[in-house]
Amino acid sequence: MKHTIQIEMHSRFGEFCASGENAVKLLKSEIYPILDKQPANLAFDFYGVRNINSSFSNALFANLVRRYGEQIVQSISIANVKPNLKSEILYSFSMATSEIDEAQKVCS
Amino acid sequence: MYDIHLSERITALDLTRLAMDLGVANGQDEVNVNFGSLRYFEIIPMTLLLGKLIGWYLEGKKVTVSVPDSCRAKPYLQRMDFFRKIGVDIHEDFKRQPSAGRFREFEVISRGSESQADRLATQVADVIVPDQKDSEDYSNTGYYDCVEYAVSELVLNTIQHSSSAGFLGAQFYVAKGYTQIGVIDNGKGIRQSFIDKNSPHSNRIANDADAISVALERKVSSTTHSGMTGEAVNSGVGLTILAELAGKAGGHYTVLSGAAAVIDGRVVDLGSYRGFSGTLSAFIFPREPMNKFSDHLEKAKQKIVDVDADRFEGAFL
Repeated sequence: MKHTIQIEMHSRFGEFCASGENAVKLLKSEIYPILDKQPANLAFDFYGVRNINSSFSNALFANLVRRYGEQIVQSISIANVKPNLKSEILYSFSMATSEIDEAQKVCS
Repeated sequence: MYDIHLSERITALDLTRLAMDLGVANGQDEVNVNFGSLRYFEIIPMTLLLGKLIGWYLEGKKVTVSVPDSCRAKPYLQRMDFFRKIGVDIHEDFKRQPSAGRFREFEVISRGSESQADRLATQVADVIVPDQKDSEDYSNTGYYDCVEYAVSELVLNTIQHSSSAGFLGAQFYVAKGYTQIGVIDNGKGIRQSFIDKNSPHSNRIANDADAISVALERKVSSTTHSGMTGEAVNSGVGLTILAELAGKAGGHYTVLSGAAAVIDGRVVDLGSYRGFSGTLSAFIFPREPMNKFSDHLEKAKQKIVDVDADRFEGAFL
């Protein structure tokens, strides 16, 4: 059974998630060290988070796809998102997969 | 001593003219700015003047200001902390009223930490859109979210690219129904930022106008070439999305850096000696359309990348 990494967003980043730098710190300190060694599920809980900007969302979610490929999305669960947060995260996933598609086209 | 007399009325529409008028003094050792005729000054050109004055101080110029009582805009400039920010102490003959619903005094953007972005953005949204501040009805917080989002992205831009401190100003104009947001820094400018970061886009940039135009392209920033390792803090879409957003909702934007400005997609050459060494990013967001911020944001993003919602729907509980 895969290990699950639980991440409570509000307690870490407050009501407004706005710093890409802080998102990358989370990835490098707590998520990459585990995912680089073994598959794991990622459970993000956005309860209490009101707003998110593109910088944060891309630094967290687009970077996960850039590093592990689109299949990582199947290991991700995201709870308690407001519509504007969901739209932002969907954009980040889409942007990263389009980058991968473009890179593959260049390579082939 | 080179004297600059500010005109009676300076609005956001006068921004490039003001930039060129101030730029004439770039080659002078001593500059005096006379506020005597000034009656009305909007926050975006005021932000430019603030950045320009600080820039001259940093260059070692002797800079003075003349603010006689004939300056009708004096109390407003004082209330915005304009003179305090340039180190000039002028006695206030009025009682400061709360700023909620109208403006935010000029804030300093410090070098280094990104953590100030969310704090500053929330503080500005709190005073510009106080009626939506504590709303639990998330379908009714669009303008608050818009202001908070925009300010955070602009502050991050300054921190990530300028290598300098900066200033942030914001004002809601009730009669016009829109907010002006201005962020300025005295840093290296957009063109130099591309060069210093060894950006692969540098070879497309021959001048400041090219640099601003390239920075406004999708997924281009001076720092977006860090590969697929998953460590990029910047995806190069912040400014681009804000420009699209302003366009979608009847707003406006100006990015001024070096000897050029881009205003709603139109390039303006300021002349090689009339430029501003740092960067000014200025946005106008109307309130009524931006109450549907989520819808406009989604449309702005669709223009940059095709969002395939069905493909990733399974991630959301």
